[in-house]
Amino acid sequence: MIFKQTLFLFLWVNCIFSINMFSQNIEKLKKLKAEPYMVLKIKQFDQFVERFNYEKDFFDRPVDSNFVKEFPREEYLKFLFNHAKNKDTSLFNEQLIQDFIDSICHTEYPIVLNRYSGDIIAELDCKVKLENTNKNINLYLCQEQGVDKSIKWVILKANGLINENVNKLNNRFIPPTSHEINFMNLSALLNNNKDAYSLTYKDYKIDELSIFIDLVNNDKILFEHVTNITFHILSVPGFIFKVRKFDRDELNSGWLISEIERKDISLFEYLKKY
Amino acid sequence: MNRRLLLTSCFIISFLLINAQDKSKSAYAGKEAKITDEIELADEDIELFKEHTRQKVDEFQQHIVTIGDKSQPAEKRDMAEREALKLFFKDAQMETSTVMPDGSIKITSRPMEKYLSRLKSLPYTQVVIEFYDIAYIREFTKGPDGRYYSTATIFQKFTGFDGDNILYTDVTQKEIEIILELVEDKFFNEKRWVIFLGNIKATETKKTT
Repeated sequence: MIFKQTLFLFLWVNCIFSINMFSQNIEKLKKLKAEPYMVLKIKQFDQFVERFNYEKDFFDRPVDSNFVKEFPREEYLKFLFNHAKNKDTSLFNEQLIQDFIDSICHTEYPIVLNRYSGDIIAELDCKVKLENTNKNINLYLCQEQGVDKSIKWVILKANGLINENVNKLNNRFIPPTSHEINFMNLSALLNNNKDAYSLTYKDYKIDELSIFIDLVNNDKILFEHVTNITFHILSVPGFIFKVRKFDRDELNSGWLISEIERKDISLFEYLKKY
Repeated sequence: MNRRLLLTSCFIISFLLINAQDKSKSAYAGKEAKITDEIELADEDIELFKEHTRQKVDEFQQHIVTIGDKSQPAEKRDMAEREALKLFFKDAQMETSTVMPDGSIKITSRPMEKYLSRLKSLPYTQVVIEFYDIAYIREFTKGPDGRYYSTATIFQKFTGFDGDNILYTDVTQKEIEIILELVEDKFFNEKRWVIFLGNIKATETKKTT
């Protein structure tokens, strides 16, 4: 409680100075004084990374010695969590959060996020139209760096296009002597049956990204918009955490940590789960 | 003869002034290069473009205020609309997220021309658009096409009146895509970095009817 009051006082005192600084840049347009939630709100994911990495303070100024005294990194990181009133108790396991923060602030090996690391995955909840039916699918993307140091997002995976629980039907198979008759039964098995999956090898997993690409290339899917983005971050050894946007006019808002899990896993293994 | 001499002198003086510009000036001031040269932005140039971005965003905000203000003459609002469109990259879209009464989110996307045009013809007797004195601009990142990309976040307050009664007011947060592109100026045979505004995503954060 005292901590929140100190923060609020700190914000109001600095608001006065920061507004004067902004006012110098405004030639004609008269502007409204920013509300405290607008200052503290983590407005972009890049701003989340800046605060996580202890690069910038609440007013986007480089962290200096005065700020470090006021808000050491261990305390500053606590502002990056979603402190909603109807919180999930498993998320707010105090020990989990403390261990997570201790890992990040390790004296010898402090952790900083690499913005363009392949350890940051964006999960997009997307609204599409497939065969004139509205559908929600998920796309998973990460950033890729080119030799000229340029950056772009690339798609790793898609899901939601097909029914996950599809099983192979025992009564659909290619008979064992088909090779002797030129596999002539394939035309009956494949045409007008809409089930080639049952004919695939034992460990085959449907690659929905290929399906998605084919649908796009053949104009069979209409992409409408992205409804939500969740970032999955695997950069802190031993932990995976998720960051998503909380749009509310409160001090604790914007891009915030919504979940943490103890897990040591590669990106490839992690994506298999989705 | 005297007139010819005067014109020639003016031309020579102008030519000398143009070429006397300090070539070590930042990219923002107008870095020049031959058309065949490739240019990479240095870190200090990128920082200067952040400041230029603030000015472009301010310019955009000024135009929005004028377009929405029904007390302004129609010609002035039309001009503000044209000037605002010049700031944008081709095919820029405005995407708006609105919280519906049932809690669901409605997302609508429109070409920027349509958005600005609609702003002029809203069903209120008076419209007041104001901006808050806060803007967050992220670092520029180079894309595979050689352009540099950034995003600026601003907050806008919209109030619609019917006479003296406030019919609607909301606060929206806007993310504006910023694109820095090397543009060819054939007349002077040089390339210049130019800032354009791109797509805008608007999210309603506070509404009072």
